[in-house]
This record gives sequence, C-alpha cells and structure tokens, in this order.
Amino acid sequence: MLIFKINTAMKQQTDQHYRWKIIGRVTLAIIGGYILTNLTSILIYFLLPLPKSDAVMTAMLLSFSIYTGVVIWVFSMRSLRSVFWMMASVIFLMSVVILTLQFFRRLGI
Amino acid sequence: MKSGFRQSMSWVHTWGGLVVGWILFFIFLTGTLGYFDTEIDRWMKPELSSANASLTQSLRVAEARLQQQAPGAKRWFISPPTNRDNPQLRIFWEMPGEDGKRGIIGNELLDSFTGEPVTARATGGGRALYEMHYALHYLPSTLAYWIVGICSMFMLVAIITGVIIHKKIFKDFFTFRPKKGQRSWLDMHNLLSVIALPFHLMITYSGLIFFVFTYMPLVITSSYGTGADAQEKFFDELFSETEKVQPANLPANLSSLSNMATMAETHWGSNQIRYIDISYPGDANTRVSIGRNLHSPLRASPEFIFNGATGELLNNKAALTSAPRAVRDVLLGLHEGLFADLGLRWLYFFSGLIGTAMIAAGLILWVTKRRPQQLSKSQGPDFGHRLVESLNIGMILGLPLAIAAYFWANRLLDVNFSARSEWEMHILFITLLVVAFYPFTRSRLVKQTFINTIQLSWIELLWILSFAYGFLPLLNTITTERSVFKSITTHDWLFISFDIIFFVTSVIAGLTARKMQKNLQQRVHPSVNSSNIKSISRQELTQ
Repeated sequence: MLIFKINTAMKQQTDQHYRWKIIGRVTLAIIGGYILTNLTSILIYFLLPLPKSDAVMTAMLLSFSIYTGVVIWVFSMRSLRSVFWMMASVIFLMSVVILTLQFFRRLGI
Repeated sequence: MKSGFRQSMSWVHTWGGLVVGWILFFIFLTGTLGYFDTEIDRWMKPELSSANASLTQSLRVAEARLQQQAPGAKRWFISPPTNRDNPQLRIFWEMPGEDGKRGIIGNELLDSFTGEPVTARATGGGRALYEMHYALHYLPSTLAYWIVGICSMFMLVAIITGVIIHKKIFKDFFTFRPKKGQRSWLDMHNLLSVIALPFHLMITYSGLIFFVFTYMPLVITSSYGTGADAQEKFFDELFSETEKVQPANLPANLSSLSNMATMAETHWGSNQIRYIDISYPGDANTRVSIGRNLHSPLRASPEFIFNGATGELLNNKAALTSAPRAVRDVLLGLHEGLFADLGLRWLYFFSGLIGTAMIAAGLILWVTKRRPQQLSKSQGPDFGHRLVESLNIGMILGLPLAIAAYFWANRLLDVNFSARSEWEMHILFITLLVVAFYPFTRSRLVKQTFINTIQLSWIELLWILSFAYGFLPLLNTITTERSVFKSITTHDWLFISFDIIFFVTSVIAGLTARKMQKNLQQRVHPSVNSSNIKSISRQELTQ
C-alpha cells in the first residue's frame, strides 16, 4: 500500500514535470521562434545586396520558412536546456550584429 | 523531445493540428466557397438578371450616374461587367477629404442598360462567406488577422511535420484499408493530404504572405523606422507608385471614356477591361487608368494611363516591377485564383474541399485513436476527450449546417426587413453555436452512455444536414421565379449547378448517416443482421 502511494506520488511528480517541460518547449518554439525569425529576417535584409524595399520584401517572404525551421528544431532537440541556451546565445549574437550593422549604416549615411 | 526525431515530429503534428483544427476547418471551408463567391452572390440575389449591355453603353451610363452622384470627386472607379468577378456594372467614388482625412466613399451596382441602381435583396452573399475566412466576421480585423495568422502558422508546421513523419509517402498513397476504424481514418487523412499537398502548401504559405506586413512588422521597423510614415515610404518604394498627380484646380471636361476604352481594347482584345480608374474627374489634371483582366496568377494588371482631359495616352505601364514583389504577387494571385477560368476554378474548389476534408479526417482520427482507452476508464472519458468529440461535431457538421441555414435565411427572411443581411449572418452563427452544444444538450435530455450520445448526435445531425440541403432546390423553386424547371428549360447553368450541388451534398450526408446507423446497431446488437435493423428502438440503444 505504502509503495503504491509512493509510486502514485512519484508518477504525479513526473507528470507535473513532463507538463512543465512541454509548456517550456512550446513557449520556446512559439515566442523564442518568433524573435529568432524576426532577427534572422532583419539580418537577411542587411546582408542582401538588393534595393532596400526589395531586400525587406525578400526577408519577409522567407520569414515563415525560417519560423517553421526554428519550430522543428526546437522540438527535435533532446535536451530542453540546450535548446534554451542555444536560442538565447543566437538571439544575443544576432542582436549584437544587427545593432553594429545599424550603427555603421547610420555612420555611412 | 521524444525518443526519436520522427516521434517528436509526430507529437507536434498531432497536438499542433488538434488545437487549431476547428478554426482551420472553418477557414478552409469558407475560403473554398470563396472560389465561387460571385456565383453565390448571384444565387443569393435571384432577382438580378445576368444580361448586360455593351461596354460603350455601360461606360456611358456609369459616367452619367457618377456625374450625378459624385461631382467634384477625388476618384471615380468603374468596373464594367466584363468578367466573372463582376457580373454587374459597378461604380465607386471617393470625395476629397478634409485635413488629411479620407473623404466620403460610395458604391453602387448599376443596370448597364439604363444606369439605374439595381435593387436586389440585401444580402452578404458569397462575398460575406469569403471574407469570413480571414476576418472571422464579428472580430475586429487586426485581432482576426492575428488569429488566422497563428492558425495558418500551425498549419504550415503541421504540413511540414506531416511530410516528415510520413516515411513511405508514395507507398501509403496507394494504401487504403476501409472498414478498419482508426486505420481507415489514418489512410483517409494521408490520402487527402498527399493528393493535394502542393495546394495545401501553396494556400497556407500564400495566406500568411497576405498579412506579412501585420505579422512581421519588425523588418520594416528596422529598415525604415517606426510609424505610419515609415510604412508608407516602404510601400511607395516597393509598389513603385508613380508620382501622384495633384489637381490643377482648373475645370475641364472629361474626354470620351469609350474612346480610351476602345484604344485599350484594340491592344488587348474585346472584353478585356477590368476597371477604369479616374482621378480628379472634371479637373484639367485628371488621369484615367485602364486595367486589364487577369490571365495569370501575377496579380497586378497592366495599365494604360491617359490624360483624361485630352484623351492622350501617357503611359503604358507593365504589370511587373521587381522580382521579390513579383514573387509576392504570384503567391497572392495563386491564393485568390482570380485569373482562373471555369475549369481551373472547379479544380481550386475541389482542392479546397480536399483540404477541408483532410482537416476533418485528422480531427476524427484523433478521437478514434483514443476512444478505446478512454471508454475503458471506470469514470468515463476525460473532460478533454469529451470536449474534442463535441467540438468535432460542432464544427465538422455545424459549419455546413450553418451555411445551409444562411441559404435558407436568404430565401425566407422578408425582403423588406431592414437588418436583413446582418440577420442572415447572425442565423449562420447561431446555428453553429446550437450545433456545437447539441451533444451536451442531448446528454442532459436523454441519459445515455457517452459514446452513444456522440454517435447518435452524428447520425441525427447528418440527417438534418441531408434535409437542409435536400430541400434547398424546392425552397428555391417556391420562393423565387427561378425554379428548377425554369432553370433547366432556360439553360440557366448557374442555378442548375447550385441545385445539383445541394442535392449531392444532401445525398452524401444521408448515405453517411445511414452507414453510421448500421455500424452503431451492429455494435450494439452484433447478432442482428441488417434486414431488421429498423426494428430496434432507441430505448435498446440506451442500455
């Protein structure tokens, strides 16, 4: 009986744990994915040697494929923690690159 | 996430598809009907005749009417009845606004022979059904665009993960195991997905591109800056708006529109003019742009631009500008299918129906897969399972029924009722709501096992659906001048097609109901053979 109780308690705990992991992953996929998509699109705009409006349009056309790719990546990784850290560092790096590019572009004008 | 890549993707496909499945069903079905929006418009305004005057006559009466309704306007816009999207002569005007605000706008449908505004019953028509698939009718538009956008993004992920988990995409295509419950639904879902995969991908991706400026505004912000001005600048650059002409504020007579139209027609052939756009009519600086009918998914039409005061041709504008813009235009054009002739339009329609059925099959697959385990639970199925079963009925049967109710309302509501077109729509959504609560209400009224409530709800609603569509041709015959017999004798193909589609829908619903009834009775009384099934009363099912 006691063992049974412990077992149920543990099962509930793992259930809870599993639930939080799912919520975490879904949040990373949707919100983290959205941020990452936008940053990648902005970077594409900066790097494309096209007239400004065309570069923006191209980046936007690609954005949903990027988003899909990111979502699939988030769900394909085994460890949630590494997804989080990889995503955070990529977002940080991209932001730095974009801010630098923007700074230089402003100097150039 | 799970033990393997494919298992993880399968999880994403199953749950991602489930949470937005019902809204996707709604978007797909109403969007599919949108491929025949003008035809539905015409069915819903049976008093209108389809005869039209010549282009010259149409332009003459349109100009006279605009002169009378909107002298000194900023813009006149004439859509002659030269194509499917525009079965009726239509005029639109915009008055000059004050302090940067938009001026008063108006539009009318005209009789192309007399120029009198046509009087038909007030109805949302097919257009309202089509608009529902991205504006969701009651919601503020931005909120609706976001909801539709999020659902479309889920759909895109579901399509890609669906392809990934589908190891033997080619072999499975030829696999169908009927009468095997869950297996059959899986095969059906696979078949419907693969058969129109390019359509599903195209329609989902291009649907997202429609509102990309809403969904991904940060790219514009980072390049053009914030605010409406920055956006305006981006659009001007992207769509390379030609310099906007300012009015000279000197009066001048508008040169002959039909001469300009003739010039355009000599280049494009007859019946090729889609619109005539006149800016600052009556001013010395007036410009007349004549656009051509669409013949390819490239959405922009080539234009001739005239000096409206002299009738002189100024510019022959090609439709195309830059490559990224062309990609966007083609995607949007493919989505809308405005260029499609009748054959291609039917293909669009059936592809849309396949997409709708695929979503429905996926939703049903979800519940059939979990039913055995859920039903074996001692306290009955979980709340979540019950909810999904009910919502499946509410949307998969509810929406087709709601659309039938919309058609019934169109024929039965008083023609002089002032809020007529609004109430047509209210009736649609009330029906949807009633059907969504049908299994719940039924379970309160008649105590039965959960699974019997669900299955009997399906059967009863399918019968109602069958009758709702089956009697539409009769209702049309009784309430309008365009009866089935008259349609046949006058070769009125539009009305004949509607009657046929209503009849086919009715038969399909009826056959499905009968089949489900047989299955259910076989399950309850496995020993009984099908011949005396009818004798089993409902009480016996209750056990």
